[in-house]
Amino acid sequence: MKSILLVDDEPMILRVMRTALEKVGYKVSTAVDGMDALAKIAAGHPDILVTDIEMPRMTGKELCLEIQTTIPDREFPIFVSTSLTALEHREWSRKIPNLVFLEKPISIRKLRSAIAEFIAQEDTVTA
Amino acid sequence: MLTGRNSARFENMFVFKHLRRSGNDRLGLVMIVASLVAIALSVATLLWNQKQNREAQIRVQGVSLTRMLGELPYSQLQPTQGQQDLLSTIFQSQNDENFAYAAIIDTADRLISVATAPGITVPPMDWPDKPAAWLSDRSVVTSSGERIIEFFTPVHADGETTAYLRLGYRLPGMGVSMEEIPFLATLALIIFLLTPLFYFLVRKEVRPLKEASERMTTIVESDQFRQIDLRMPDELSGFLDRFTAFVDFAKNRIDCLEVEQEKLLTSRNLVSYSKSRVEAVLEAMPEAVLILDQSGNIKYANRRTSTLLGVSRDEVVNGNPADWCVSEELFAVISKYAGQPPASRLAETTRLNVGAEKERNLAVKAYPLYSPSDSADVYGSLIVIRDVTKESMSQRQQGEFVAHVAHELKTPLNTLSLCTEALLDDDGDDPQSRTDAANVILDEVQRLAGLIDNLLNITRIEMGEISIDRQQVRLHEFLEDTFKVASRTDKGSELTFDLELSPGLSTILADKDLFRIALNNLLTNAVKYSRPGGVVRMSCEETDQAIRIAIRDDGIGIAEDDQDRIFERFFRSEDPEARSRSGHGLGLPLARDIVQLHYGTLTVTSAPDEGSEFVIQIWKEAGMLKQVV
Repeated sequence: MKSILLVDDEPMILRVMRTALEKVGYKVSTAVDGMDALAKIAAGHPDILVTDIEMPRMTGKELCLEIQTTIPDREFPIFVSTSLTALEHREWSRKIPNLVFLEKPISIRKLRSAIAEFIAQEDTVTA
Repeated sequence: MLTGRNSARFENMFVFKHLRRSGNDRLGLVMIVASLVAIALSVATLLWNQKQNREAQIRVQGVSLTRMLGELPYSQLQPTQGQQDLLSTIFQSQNDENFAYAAIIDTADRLISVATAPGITVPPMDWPDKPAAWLSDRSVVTSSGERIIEFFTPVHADGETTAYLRLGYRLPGMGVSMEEIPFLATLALIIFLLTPLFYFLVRKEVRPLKEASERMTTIVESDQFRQIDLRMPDELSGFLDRFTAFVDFAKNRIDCLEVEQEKLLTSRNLVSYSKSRVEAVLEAMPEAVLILDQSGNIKYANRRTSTLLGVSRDEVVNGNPADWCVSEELFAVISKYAGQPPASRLAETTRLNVGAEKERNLAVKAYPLYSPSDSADVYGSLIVIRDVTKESMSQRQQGEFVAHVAHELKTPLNTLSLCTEALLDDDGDDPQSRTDAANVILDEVQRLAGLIDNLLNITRIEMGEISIDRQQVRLHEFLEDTFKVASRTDKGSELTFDLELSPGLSTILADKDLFRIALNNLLTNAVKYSRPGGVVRMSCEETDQAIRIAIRDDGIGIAEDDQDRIFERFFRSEDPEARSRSGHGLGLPLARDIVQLHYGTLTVTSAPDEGSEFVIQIWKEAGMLKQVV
């Protein structure tokens, strides 16, 4: 069972996404901001990280850069949901491999499909 | 105070008056003195001529008589006993008052014969070394001091000089004889009578000039040029014509000069007024204004320049821009137009930041200064510097506000989108999932509606568009109702609600709906940030001065740093526990705005993990309260 860490400061969104992903068989844990997420990652790497950008204390961008610094050989992918244009994130995200932008509003269907696609690719590479 | 021109006129008038009076006084006096002098000169000349004629006459008479007697033999000249000698006879026959003496003296200086006028003694003969051989004359002075002209000649006897004949005549004086007095008196009278005649003739001749002088005096006194109209004798009319022509010319010239001077004065006043007006406008402008000439030198800087740029005006006008320019951008703008004014009327705007921490934002625009008469002629450049700090801040705040609103609106929409998608998918078949999704949708819709209501209210209040409908509100019932509604929440079962109202609360004059929104926002927050088992308490006390409404919870509390910011719009604490509760950061700013509309204050006291207390204080002095009858 793949583990997914959801990071969002909106409790409702966390609740709905968690339910939707758990339903299709993922083990889901949640964090309310970047700092909380770093603490969870330190306890154990997830297979997939899904994070929002706009969050208090530590934003999604800061979280990604911090992960890139502390875990340069990271294997898990990062899905970043943002309503901001990709242009604004092009500069900093260029340095971070294995990072995918998901446009807001987030669709459960698209998220499930993106995660499934990634797992399928990973399985192919492993095989 | 006399101006230069008036002072000159005053001096001219004084000179003219003085000349006229002194001229009248002197002329008569001069005429009298002149007549006396003329009389004296005439008499003196006459007497002098008489004297000269007499002297000449004496000489002729003396020479001829001496020559005649000298040719007589010595024997005839010697006195003869018993007979009157010749000299006495001649002396008496001459009957001439000037004839002083006649004498014969031998070579031994003895007086041979003599005849003298009374009181006259024959002066001694001062013989020359070489006695004269013929007739001669000389001047001598008698012992009584009289001046004598003496004629003398040798007298011969037998071919030898044996004696000298001497004839003395008194020199005639300037004295006036009694006979001459009537003649002289008549002469003096004639001269004296001619003087007034001459005087009146002169007066007559001078009268036109005098009249001209008086008219000129009048003209000078009246300070107005007029034509000098005079009738004069023919001999003076030419002079007067030329003089009048000259005066006309002078008058025309003066008129022209006066007109030109008036024009010049008017023009100068106009220019001075225009300049003052333009300068006053420039000084009053809220923007800093610099005027550069064609060479790029700063020729003018208004008062605002020094306050805006923090350098003295004198430094700006006379100094080198490189020394005083507060920023490189400004120096670049000024340097750019040095010697090359802006080519277009459409000014380019350069923005720059100045100040110790670059906190002030300035907009610099440069315009060409065209000549009003010829737009092809450019005087220089006009540089206008405007402080746009507030504008920039306002724009930034506006942008931030819109971004916040968009973010706050989009967040519940995201949740709604997720839930709706879940309902449409397989989850919709599961009753539990369906109920969960419906609850989330309800929460988010309520949140969205609350957000929009708060947003609209706060915007209206801040823009002054909302009208306050003040009415008598029974505080006791109002607080009870509001508290009851707020306690009916899902979370209500986990909390204790406590309402403490003092008995006999006043009626307050308030907008019931708005005041309810403020109280509801505070109560909703108290519920939201309480922990299970917590207590939400509302109390109201009334004193002589104020009404004090306190809403207290013992929930998560507010960090000290956040307490100053919770009344800012869209502020959300970064505390994870606070963040886990939904909110949009508009409830407290709106509550504060409403309380302020009711002339009250809203304050907070809080400590993390101990809870918060929000206090509304409404002052009775504000005239809003009415005692219960």
